[in-house]
Amino acid sequence: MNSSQKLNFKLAERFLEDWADPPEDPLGELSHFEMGWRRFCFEYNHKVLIEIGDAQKEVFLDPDICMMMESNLPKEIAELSQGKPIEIEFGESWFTIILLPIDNKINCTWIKFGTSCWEKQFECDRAQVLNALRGFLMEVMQLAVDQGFITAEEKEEFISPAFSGNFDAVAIAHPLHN
Amino acid sequence: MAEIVQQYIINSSREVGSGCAWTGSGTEPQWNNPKSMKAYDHIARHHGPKLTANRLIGRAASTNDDQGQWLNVEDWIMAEQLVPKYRGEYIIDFHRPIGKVYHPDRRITENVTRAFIQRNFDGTLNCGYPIVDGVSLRELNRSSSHE
Repeated sequence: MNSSQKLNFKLAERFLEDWADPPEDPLGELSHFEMGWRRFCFEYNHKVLIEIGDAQKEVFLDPDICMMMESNLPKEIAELSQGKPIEIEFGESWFTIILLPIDNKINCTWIKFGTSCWEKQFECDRAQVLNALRGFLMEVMQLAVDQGFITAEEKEEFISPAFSGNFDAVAIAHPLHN
Repeated sequence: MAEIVQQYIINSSREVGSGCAWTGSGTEPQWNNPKSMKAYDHIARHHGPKLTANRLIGRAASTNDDQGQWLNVEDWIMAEQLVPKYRGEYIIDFHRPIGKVYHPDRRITENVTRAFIQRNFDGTLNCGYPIVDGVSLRELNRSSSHE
């Protein structure tokens, strides 16, 4: 196991290829926030670089990060901060990240599935992991607000579980956006 | 008769999906309607039968991952009904052709019979797409629960 590795989600350049149909809601099932978030990811698609230690993988706002948020990332972050293990699934990119808190560390397992499967183990600092997840959550949600796809109130309501009731005393990073 | 050939259950403490109490946000999705954005959004938009081959070929080449395409929208409704009512990952073998797979090297495998399905915490299908034989979940024949 690699020791004291870092986990990071980095928003990278715009991605302009058109792989999917635009989001539509013909049955009227989605809220303004749910539809706005999907439209943001599709219309303002970016590459996102996920790094854990020396391992990295390029994913995309649409579909990977879009789905990560639909899986209620803020609630997952809250559970992680309370010492519970979580799994972040990237089914469209054939991998999963399992985060297992132990004391002030988090054991990260990066699992690749498909026609070839492998697992890599990393030991990360708990505060760094929580800070990275919260910072990325805030960054992309604020971008969706800045681009006019969701409202500031919708953003605050969605992300609030990640920043409340945590027992980890982690300094919360709020990226500045103008 | 279709069957689940592999499964990885993430949370077996709560049953979710069609026929179960709806615990997600807003109103319950229309499980039996393939146009349900809430239940099947990414399946339809990224792997639906109406997508052109060029889009899937391009995506496979750019991501270096296989990209499956469904032949029939009704099959993802059947998949939802077949997979266990728990958050997790599943491979179904329909034992009949359900789609095709575009490979990064531009090969195409026609008439595949299996699909990968990922059920979200609220029972909706986070993603699902046809796959070739030989695809494995992370840990064969093992279930887990964290909650």
